[in-house]
Amino acid sequence: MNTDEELLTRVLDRAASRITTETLRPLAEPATAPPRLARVRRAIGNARLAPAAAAVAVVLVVAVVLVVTGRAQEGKPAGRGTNGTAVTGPAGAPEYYAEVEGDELNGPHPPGRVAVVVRSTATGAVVARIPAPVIAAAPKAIPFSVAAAPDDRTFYALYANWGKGPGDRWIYRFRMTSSGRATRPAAISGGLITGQDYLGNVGGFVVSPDGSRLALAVAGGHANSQQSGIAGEILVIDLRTGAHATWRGGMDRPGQLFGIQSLSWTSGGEALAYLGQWCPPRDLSYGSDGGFTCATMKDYQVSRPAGTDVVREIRATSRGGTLDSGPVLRAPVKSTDPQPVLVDPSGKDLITLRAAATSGVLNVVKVSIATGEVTSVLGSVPRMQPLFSANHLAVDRTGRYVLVWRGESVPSGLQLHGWVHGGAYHQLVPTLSPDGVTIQMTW
Amino acid sequence: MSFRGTATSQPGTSGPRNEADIVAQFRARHLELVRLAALLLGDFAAAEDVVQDVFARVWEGRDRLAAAGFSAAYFYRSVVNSCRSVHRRRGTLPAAGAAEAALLAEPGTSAEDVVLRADEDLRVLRALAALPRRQREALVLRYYQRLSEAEIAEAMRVSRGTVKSTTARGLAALGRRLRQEGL
Repeated sequence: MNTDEELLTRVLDRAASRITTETLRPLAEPATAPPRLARVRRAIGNARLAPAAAAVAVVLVVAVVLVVTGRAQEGKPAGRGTNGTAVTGPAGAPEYYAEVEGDELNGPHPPGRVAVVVRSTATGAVVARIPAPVIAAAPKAIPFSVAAAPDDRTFYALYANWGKGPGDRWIYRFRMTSSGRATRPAAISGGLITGQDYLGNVGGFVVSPDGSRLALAVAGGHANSQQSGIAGEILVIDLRTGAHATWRGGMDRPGQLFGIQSLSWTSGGEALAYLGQWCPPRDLSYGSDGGFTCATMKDYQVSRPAGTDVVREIRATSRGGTLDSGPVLRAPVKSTDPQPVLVDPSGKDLITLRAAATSGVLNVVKVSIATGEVTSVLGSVPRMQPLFSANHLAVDRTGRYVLVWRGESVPSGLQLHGWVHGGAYHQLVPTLSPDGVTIQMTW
Repeated sequence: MSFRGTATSQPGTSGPRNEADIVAQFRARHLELVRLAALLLGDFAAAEDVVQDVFARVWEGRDRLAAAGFSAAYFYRSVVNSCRSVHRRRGTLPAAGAAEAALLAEPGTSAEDVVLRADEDLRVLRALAALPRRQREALVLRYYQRLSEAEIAEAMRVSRGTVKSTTARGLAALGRRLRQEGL
């Protein structure tokens, strides 16, 4: 062996030795085969109308018009193709989206069909249905949330033991293999979250842009959150070490509960933006998706929005801190029409929903943090009547493709359940009906 | 084959007897396979993905592999093939950045040692990363994996003669690059 060979051998051995069993992600066995698309389509075809249909019937008219025209125009939402499949997305959109779908979390019956499902963005076909993990302490484990990592193939799911009231939550990871199959969920280090009492966790479960950390809204030691069933703190888990860092407190207002409605990372992963909401306890209600809304209700209708929203940022250091430790991105405002807010990966804009000039339509817009002005319109979606559920958004890593949904049990044709890009709204295949909801989406 | 690593048996001489053996063999070689993929790709996260994908294929085809008289060489060949696919998807290999990622300081060494060693390692890995894909594979399989020419030929699916010439050309090219790097 000459000098070069000896040097190469030495360096290769040294470099390889940096990788140890402690740093390895456990191997996961593939999950079971996905159900055939035909079965899903049959189930969708059996959908029956739900009582909320009357409240949103106007949307059906819009949807029918758009199925005929086949393409979204400014201010008008697009529809599905006439064959019932989703409109094929343009190149550049994430290959998959994942969602927690099934029965209402806050419905009249215990949810029996709630599952994490991975679907093709192009066709809406079920790529994988992820089996619930076997958790000894959670024999009735059901998923509340799912979050996609930036590689488009790794996903994290949050599970709870249904029917046991306040308790623990478990986080599992699964991956889509190159052959298009999903691995079985595997527990992550640091993935046990104790003492939780919220029903769902919509919008508060996101992976950092480098895939190294997972942020979620949790209920913790904060005086408000323990009693309210809403998540009012932020937990960041280091996915390599399992270490936890928590942000709590600093947002108390007398006579108000404080909850976190949505979380999002800045592109460098150095900061987290959150939409927080103060709500009088009497005006708090829970949606079909487990999220909360803050509004005065009368005869099962919103008579008056009652909350106050604020958008703030926290620095995602390993030490944690208080929720008011970072800058305000959007000053507190009385919620006349509460909508989700995410930070754009650029860090310069917020992504939210705003009423369009056309009646019955919301625009997905980017708003400059510096000026508050709308910088672009990503697409337009049908505006639902505010009932018990809020709208939700999830943005991809480029900031160009935004999922929009509403966790409400309505007939499949009336579901707000799609994505926007380049000015167009692409309706996705409906969540399983009857009584089915999309609880959370991610890509 | 005489692969280095953590497996308890010599795969070429006494392969796994059933499906469970195959999965166990793979799990036993998990670390070694990720290290191999990381050296071929220069990217630890991608290496983990590659090995996970190969494991999924092995798991799904374990009954077929058992029936076909499986040899653990299949693992290495699959990892090499999957790394090639990653390269094809990327178009280019990340050069210095990936090497830097692998050069974390070892605990218990002085700061000076760490700096000197890291600098040397970085230059060598950078020179290796700049080689054509086949030459890089041949050198990693020879000087890290310690495979014979015949074993490298099987893993790379080329002839022994090709292995010999590729390795020789790779070493010569590496030497030139190391001189340029001042080593």
